Amino acid sequence: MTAQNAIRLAMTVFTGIVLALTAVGIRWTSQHQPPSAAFASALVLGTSSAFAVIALVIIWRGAGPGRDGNG
Amino acid sequence: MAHAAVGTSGTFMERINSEWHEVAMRAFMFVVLGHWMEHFLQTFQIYVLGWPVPQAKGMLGMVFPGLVTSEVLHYGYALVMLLALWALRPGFTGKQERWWWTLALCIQFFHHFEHALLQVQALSGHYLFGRPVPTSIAQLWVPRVELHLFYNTIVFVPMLVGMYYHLFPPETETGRPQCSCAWHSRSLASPV
Repeated sequence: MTAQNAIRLAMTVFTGIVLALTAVGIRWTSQHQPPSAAFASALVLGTSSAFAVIALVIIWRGAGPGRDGNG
Repeated sequence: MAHAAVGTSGTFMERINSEWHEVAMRAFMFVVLGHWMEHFLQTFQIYVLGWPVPQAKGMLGMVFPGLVTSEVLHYGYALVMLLALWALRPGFTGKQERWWWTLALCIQFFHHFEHALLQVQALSGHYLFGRPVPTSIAQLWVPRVELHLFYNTIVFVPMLVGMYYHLFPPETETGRPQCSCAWHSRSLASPV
């Protein structure tokens, strides 16, 4: 595995945790918070998920051959 | 890691963005990821383990409950984040990496402002919006735990992308790195 893919993988694991927690969070807040608060929570947690997905797309699509030139 | 030859003189700000940039970034990431672990654990305690929100204090908060309730600590961390994002920014010499890092800095500025509002209320004892506890603007609509997860994510994601481009600059990047962070071969060709 190249250094670039190792870093990508580490970043993916991190963003995966964010995605998992936000998904569980949206479900939990819908069951435990008043409707208006649950909606606001879902909105910010959903936005957080979108940011995490954007990061994943960029780092896996991103150019850069890496130190060894194999990318 | 590929290390570029870098200079060994200059002001503190120049050095922290050249020969010390890699070490400074690692130290900064250690602090940021440690903070993230606390938030991950706190949300896990609430969402998965079903703990009541006031009892979900992360890991360190279980041992030192004051860490979670201390507005000073929260404000201090937000300030450290803001200062580090600002101080380490000149080391991001590429166009894309600089753009993403600056986005994180801008978002953190507002995040810091929110914490400053909370800090002023905690110090003065006068709470805004007629609330019984210190309340930030976004907290008028969004519960605190979810809001913190949100702020930390939207600050950290641009940082993550900026760091990725900093470590692996695209071939089209024309900025000349002054630090030893990049794995890309262009850093090996950097001037002393």
